[in-house]
Amino acid sequence: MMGLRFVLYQLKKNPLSIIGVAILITFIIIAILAPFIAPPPEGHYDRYMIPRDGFSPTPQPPSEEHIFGTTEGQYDIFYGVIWGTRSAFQVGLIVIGVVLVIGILLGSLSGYFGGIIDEIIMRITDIFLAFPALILAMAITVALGPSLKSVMLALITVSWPPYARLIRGDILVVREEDYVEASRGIGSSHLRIITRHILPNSIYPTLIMASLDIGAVVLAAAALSFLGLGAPEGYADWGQMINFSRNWIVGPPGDPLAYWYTVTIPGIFIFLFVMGWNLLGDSFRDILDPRLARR
Amino acid sequence: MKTKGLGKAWLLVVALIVAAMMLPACAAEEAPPLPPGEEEEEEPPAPEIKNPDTFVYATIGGPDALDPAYSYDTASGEVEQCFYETLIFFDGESTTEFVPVLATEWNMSEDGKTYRFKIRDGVKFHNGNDLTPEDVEYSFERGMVQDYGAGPQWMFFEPFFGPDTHSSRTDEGLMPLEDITSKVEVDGQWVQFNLFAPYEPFLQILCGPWGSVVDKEWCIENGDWDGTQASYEALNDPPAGGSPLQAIANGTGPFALERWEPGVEISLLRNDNYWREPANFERLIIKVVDEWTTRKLMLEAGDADHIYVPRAHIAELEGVEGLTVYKDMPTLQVDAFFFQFAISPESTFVGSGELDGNGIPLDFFTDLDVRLGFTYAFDWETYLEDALMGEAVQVGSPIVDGLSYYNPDQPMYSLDLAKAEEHLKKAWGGQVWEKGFTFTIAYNAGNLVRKTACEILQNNLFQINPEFKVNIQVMQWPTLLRGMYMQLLPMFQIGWLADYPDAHNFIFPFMHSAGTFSGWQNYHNPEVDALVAQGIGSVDPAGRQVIYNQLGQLYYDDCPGIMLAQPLGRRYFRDWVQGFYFNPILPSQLGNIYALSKSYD
Amino acid sequence: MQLWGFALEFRAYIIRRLALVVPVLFGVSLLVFALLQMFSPVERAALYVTDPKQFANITEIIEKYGLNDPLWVQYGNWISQIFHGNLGWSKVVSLPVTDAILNFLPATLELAIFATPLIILGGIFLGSKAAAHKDKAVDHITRAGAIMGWSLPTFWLGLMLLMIFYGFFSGLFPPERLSTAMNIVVHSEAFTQYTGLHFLDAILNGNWQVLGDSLRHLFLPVITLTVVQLAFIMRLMRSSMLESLGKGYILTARAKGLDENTVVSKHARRNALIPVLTIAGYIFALLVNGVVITETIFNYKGLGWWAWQSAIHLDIPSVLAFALFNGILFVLTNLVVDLLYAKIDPRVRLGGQAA
Repeated sequence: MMGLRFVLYQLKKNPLSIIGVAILITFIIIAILAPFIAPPPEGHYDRYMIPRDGFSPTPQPPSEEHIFGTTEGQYDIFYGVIWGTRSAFQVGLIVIGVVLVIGILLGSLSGYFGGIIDEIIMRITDIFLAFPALILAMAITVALGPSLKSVMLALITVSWPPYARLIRGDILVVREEDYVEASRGIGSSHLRIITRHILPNSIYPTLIMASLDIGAVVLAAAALSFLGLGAPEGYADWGQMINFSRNWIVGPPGDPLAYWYTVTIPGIFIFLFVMGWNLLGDSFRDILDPRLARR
Repeated sequence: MKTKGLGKAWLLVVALIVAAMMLPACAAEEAPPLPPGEEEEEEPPAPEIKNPDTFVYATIGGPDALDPAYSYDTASGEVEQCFYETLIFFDGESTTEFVPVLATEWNMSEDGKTYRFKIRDGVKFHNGNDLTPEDVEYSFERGMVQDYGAGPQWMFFEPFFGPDTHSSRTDEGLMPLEDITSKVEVDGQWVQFNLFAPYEPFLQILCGPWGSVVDKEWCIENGDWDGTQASYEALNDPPAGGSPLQAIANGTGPFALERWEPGVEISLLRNDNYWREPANFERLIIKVVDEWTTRKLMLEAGDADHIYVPRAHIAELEGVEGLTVYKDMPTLQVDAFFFQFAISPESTFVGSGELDGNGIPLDFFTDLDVRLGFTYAFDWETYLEDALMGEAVQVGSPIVDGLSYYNPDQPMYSLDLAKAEEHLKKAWGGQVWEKGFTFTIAYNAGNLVRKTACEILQNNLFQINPEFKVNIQVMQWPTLLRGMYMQLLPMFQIGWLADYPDAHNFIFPFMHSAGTFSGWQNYHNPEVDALVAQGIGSVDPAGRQVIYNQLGQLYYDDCPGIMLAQPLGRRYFRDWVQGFYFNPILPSQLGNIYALSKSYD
Repeated sequence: MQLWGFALEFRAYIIRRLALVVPVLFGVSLLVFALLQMFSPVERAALYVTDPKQFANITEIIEKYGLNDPLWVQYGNWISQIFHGNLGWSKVVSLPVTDAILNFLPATLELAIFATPLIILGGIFLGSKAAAHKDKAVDHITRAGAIMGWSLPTFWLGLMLLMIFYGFFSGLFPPERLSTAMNIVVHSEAFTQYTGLHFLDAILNGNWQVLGDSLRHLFLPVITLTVVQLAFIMRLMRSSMLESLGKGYILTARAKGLDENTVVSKHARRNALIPVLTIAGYIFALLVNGVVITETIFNYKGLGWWAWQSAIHLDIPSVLAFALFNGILFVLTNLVVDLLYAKIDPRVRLGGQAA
């Protein structure tokens, strides 16, 4: 195991990772301060519903009142992207968190005990892997109705199998190590062996994969929204804001960029957010474990 | 792996691909590619017309099936009316005057129960067969024999069998074949229709795609109904894909089916043996293009002659050169909110289910004051001007502008928060005002206009009294349909699109106790039912006008729902497209496709 | 050596892998039917109802399609249909499901034929370049590029490309599969459609205009598909290459005075390829996701577009069929990858790596 200090030192050495960390810290600040940066109007039921200023379908360019302009249906883009930061963290962290738990649970059962348990769990992961992930996620969101919750559930359903596999594979390697054998020899319980000896030595690759995947999860959620299956209209969620902008990519002739703000602003937020995680994850990967390449 | 040359091989491949792509670009500049078998013509017109012999139309959905007796969607009706023809057709922009098509003349008996049509001589189907009166008889009988459950045939059962029959499948099982075949008879060159009772919209119904004439011989060859009882039983209410004519077509119309790639495009080829002048272009291609940006760019590039333009995007086409725009055409459709008079006990949208501020009782909307209060709280001006960009008009009753017996003097509500307050204070003996309410309304995902209507109502009710809480929930279309059908939703919002342009087609679903929407909402008014029956049973236009005005007034007084708006349509064509005229009842966005041409003359 | 024994083992291995396909597919179909339980019969019948006025006969529809039957009855019916070669009816495109797959497959295949080599070869090339020049400008640029590519929302990229290359440079790289004129040519008597792959048919017919047109239409979707996934392979290749460059035999080779190019391409890259190969199956899954979005944006009617339409319309037979089709391909791809893997790296014990 490597010390935190070493990791930080390595991170500091790599300019790309510094950018990644800076981006993420900015987003964390935005998420925390959202109620102050973009205060919700009085009497507004749900803070995650973007306030509307009128109902016209034509987006309005940035103005003093709406500094990033409005989308179709007059949803305030600034409010949307600020509160959307919270949604993005929610989706990314919750999905990856749950997936990690499921993955660690099934993966360690499978890897540690082997045999019939392994066989069953691995066949189940096969089934989920063989199913086209996006299509499965779409079917689940259709079934559960449009909401951020359904999106998260759908993404959890399709994202856990690779984790279970990865953990299983790494446990298989560690299982045969001397110290595990030794522990087994002195009669430690399975739970103790797994939690004390095996997981701590095999979990790093998984954690790194998870940090890399947070961005991917946010992208997948956005893709679902784009296909019309994500958060409900007007929910502060970047993907759904891009869905609003989808039909305003090209302005009228002579002014093709007339609606640039509807597409570009939420697009940049998603892009930066995902890139922040990717930069961080990539550096972690390089620092901690070149073996990772094998997933 | 020989990796040494990888970089160079790479470059070579890229270079080859680029070169190949340049090829058509250069070729296109020299000579526009011609369809095979086409002679190059001299004297091109001054501004160049792209694909002068092909009409390209990009829209959002393809036909469901090509069988005119089976399909019930406008995309199918659109192409069916290119392949097939009806006995008579609407005269230009009129919805009440008709011109002869496959019938040369027709008449109605004194009592209004018998219609006779003389069939045109010398008309040929695409496969070369002659059109005969027997084909006409067969076409209508076949439709009723097949009687697809989610199809249009109810429109014939009602006039032929009386107002209570909408299907061949009765409580006693399949109706006798004899009953169907006795309704349409051949008499020499004439075909006679025997109605149950006078039915004024009958001629309008005959003009729809479901009134198309098919080739009997060809149908039987392809496994369709052969006149026997066994075949009737086998073919009745076919499953999707189960009727023989769904993917083939053989009519008398100006275009014949060339190729259908479902979900992608359908290509129609000019019928050069048409009994009138052949159509003005050789090919009509209807493409399914879901993405708006793509459709728009196709129109701007001239790759499409016409595209479907959603109302929200009209601003993006302002000032585009080379387009002809037709505006403000009242379409025969209307959106409305419906109050549920008897909410299902299984509903999860009524909060506590009691009038305690946290819910509503299941019979909440049976109180007229509640309905009126809600109606006065709706803001049509914002809805029309903002959400619908001014491209719609308010309507006061289900009989919208363009239908026979439309009443321009129909009374209408408008936003009046004081009146809303007054009614809501009276509602439920004052309890509503005192305790407030909470319930949930829904709209279908992706429909921003419907969501806006919900929000207008939500905001205004909240303004009147902060204890009036309406939650808005988004649902997928199937879930929403279920909510309406199972009577789970306290209020629902939905629209109706005309089948034929008569007041009856709208009054029945909106007001009759057996109507589609009024049935769902459990609205029942014996006076209305009696008037509806009286209205359709009469062939006296003046008398019918009085009846439908009365029904309109009843809608106003009873307020079973909030009539919202009738959209005004627009059409965008490349400016080389000539001959478009608007008739609201034609299924095609293009109107009468036969009348169109591509030229600058 | 025991070549004979190896072949025997090999055959047994293939048979074992193929035998696994059946339970996996069975599981996939069970999964879909489990999903079905979330819908009421009325909701599923709504697929046949495009307009509320058709709702009058909803009970008939429910009965006709057996939507009210217990789930296991519906499942049994479906399975027995499958064994009769009938995959059902795809409502969204009004075609039998088998025909729908056959109709839409060539379009998607065309995309895959161009995108896959670009992704894999391009990724390998850039990845090894970056590794060979670790911490140099090349490395930083390619890595930053890869991370940016990997962070781009596919749909956003696709729309942007469409805006630039179809909007601004009017019509340079248009959407769809062919232009109207070329589509008419392709469907004319004079043109034989051997495969349904337009570029290949064009070559076989010797029609260069169609070929060029087809490639022009393929350009943007292929680029969109490639950019995002190229980044993935590139990153993988880079780290794998770094690992392999640190290995003893490379150091030995360097010490022997072999020039750097030979070391990199002959020794290091070959070894670094192994993990990339194992991941190819995963790339396939990503491609399937990618085509759904790409085909939607570019109005490129292929399997992805069809699957999307089916999923949002709850067209269960189509979703099931697509899942099965995808499952079969997935299992077969992995099989091929495993076999290649075994060939490249004989150290792999065929028995052990079944997963």
